[in-house]
Amino acid sequence: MTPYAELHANGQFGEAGYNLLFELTRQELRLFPSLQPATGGDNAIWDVVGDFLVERGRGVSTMLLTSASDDESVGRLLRKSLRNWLIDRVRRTSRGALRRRLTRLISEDERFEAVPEGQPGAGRWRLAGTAGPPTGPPFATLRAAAWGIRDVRIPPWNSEERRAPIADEPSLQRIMFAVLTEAGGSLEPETVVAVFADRFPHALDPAEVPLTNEATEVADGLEASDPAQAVVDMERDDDSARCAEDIYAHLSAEERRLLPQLHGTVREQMRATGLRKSQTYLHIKALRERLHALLGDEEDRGMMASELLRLCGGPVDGVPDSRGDVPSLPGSR
Amino acid sequence: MTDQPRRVPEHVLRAGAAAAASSALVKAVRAAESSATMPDPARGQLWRSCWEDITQLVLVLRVSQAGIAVVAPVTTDPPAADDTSAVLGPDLTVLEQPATVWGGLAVGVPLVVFDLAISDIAATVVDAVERVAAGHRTGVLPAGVSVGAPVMSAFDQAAEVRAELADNLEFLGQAAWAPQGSGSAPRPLRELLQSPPDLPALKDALGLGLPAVIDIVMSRRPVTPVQAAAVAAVTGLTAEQVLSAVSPLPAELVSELDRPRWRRALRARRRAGEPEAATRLAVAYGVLALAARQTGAVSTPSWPQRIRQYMAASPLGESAQ
Repeated sequence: MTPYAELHANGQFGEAGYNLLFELTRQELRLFPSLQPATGGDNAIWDVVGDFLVERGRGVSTMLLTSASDDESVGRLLRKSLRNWLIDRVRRTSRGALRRRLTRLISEDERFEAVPEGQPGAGRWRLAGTAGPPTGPPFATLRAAAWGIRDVRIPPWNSEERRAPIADEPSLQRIMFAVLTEAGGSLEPETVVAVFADRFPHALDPAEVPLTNEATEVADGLEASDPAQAVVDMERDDDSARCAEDIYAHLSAEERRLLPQLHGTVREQMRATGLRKSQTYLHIKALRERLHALLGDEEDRGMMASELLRLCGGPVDGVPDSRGDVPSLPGSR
Repeated sequence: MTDQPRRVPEHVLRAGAAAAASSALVKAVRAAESSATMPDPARGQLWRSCWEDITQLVLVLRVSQAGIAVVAPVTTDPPAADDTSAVLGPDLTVLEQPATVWGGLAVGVPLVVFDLAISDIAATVVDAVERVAAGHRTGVLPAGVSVGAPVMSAFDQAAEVRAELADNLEFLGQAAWAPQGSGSAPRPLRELLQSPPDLPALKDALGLGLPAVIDIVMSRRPVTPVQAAAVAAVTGLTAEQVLSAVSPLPAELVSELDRPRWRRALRARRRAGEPEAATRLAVAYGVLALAARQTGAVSTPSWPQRIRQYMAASPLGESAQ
């Protein structure tokens, strides 16, 4: 029997369906290096298949039975579900990493503390030396405080590292101080994590998909620029150039293709994403949010944007030196 | 993939068995697929809709006079929703699984995309779906119906799902197979040609017999996009000109063939790799030719009768020859 026939006969996968799921999982995992099992071999892949079935299986079986019209569509829809789940998994592990990073910040910086046991709101986070009660201000208020911190620095990231740093230590400290001050009391750690996740979308988004060959060549070309170009580069604002290269390293291959089309026509943008209109619009919006988070409100952001566009292979002259350009400003989302 | 099936570990088999779709749903799908007739869509029905490579479970909200039904996409995976979506509990549908009805994405789609009527949903629940989509939160929602959370960021998985669904619905909404201009004046291919057609060259290019080629030149027979390209290469016209040079199809015939009742029979006539639109075109012109032969009859058969006659008289697959 084929996977389609199995589903229609029993409402679940049979041998053919499991083998299809195994093969799709093996292929899709290649796109998510951070999720690849530490040990190779079929058993590790089967474990991922098992997790997928436990977490999403019922909804997926239902979806396939009601939506697929043949084996081809079973394969297409199953691959999509699997990829969605893997992306969600990356985000969950990234959120866990973000929480661990912030927990470390709270414990290491003497300006912050976790509310001790025996006090109201034990385990929550607050400014040290205050006795503020547990509080729950609107998310938008905390968000505004986080985004109000200027000159946030994103450390260089070697893409061979497993996870990109979200921001340098002083930047995180300043944002944490602003958020807890705005709260006027203690906050649930998960609330603080949500604020930071909003402020640093690049920390959660799975931009870990390996670069395509084409994009890798572009990146390689950066390091192998000719001496004349190197002199020109030195004349640039060093900080801007370095920041742009750091930001470039945080972008996914698709975002690098899409960035030169940020102000292009919808048709050009759709060509860059290979998607239809609504999905392309969403990707453009996400890229704007990511750029805003990465570029922030630096005074030299126009220069960084130009440099970033150059790295992405776009026409530098095409970047208007305007604060309303490449990244969207706070409140414009 | 390897040719040899892999041995599936026990823990995966257990997880797969626990993830089986509800037996009620399996029965409903089997019953729908084996049903002798497929109904027209009506409010409150859950349908599988599809066109080309896009397939989508939808809830019918209303059907208009013009052969258009307003539908909302329904999803069970991934578990996502927005604040214009109603999340239906497992007890409310035959899916027996939490399902999101994305009422905020409701659009009109032509009847041609309706494929399989799976089940009905209670009228009170459909009303609730519309209220949630319209942002009217006053009044109590039926038990088991809840409202999704707002999408806060472009990085929210719900945003990605919503965008994909919007694209799917837009694609389904644009599904069409009849040549544009059907119902208007014909523009036969022979009138577009500057000189007499090279029939032997057309025979070779199309791989068809002379009668079929003459029918195409006289615009009595439709051409598929592939055939249009072949004709264009021989005649010097553009493929678009060739495609536009077909006899118009009566709007009533197009509407009739759009009804879900014909889809299974039409699909059965498709040859491997042939687009559904090409099969529909071929059948439509076949029916039209049959109708032309029947002109003058004392009582004119209806389009459904003619379609049935044509289907019965023409062996499967002939339409694509």
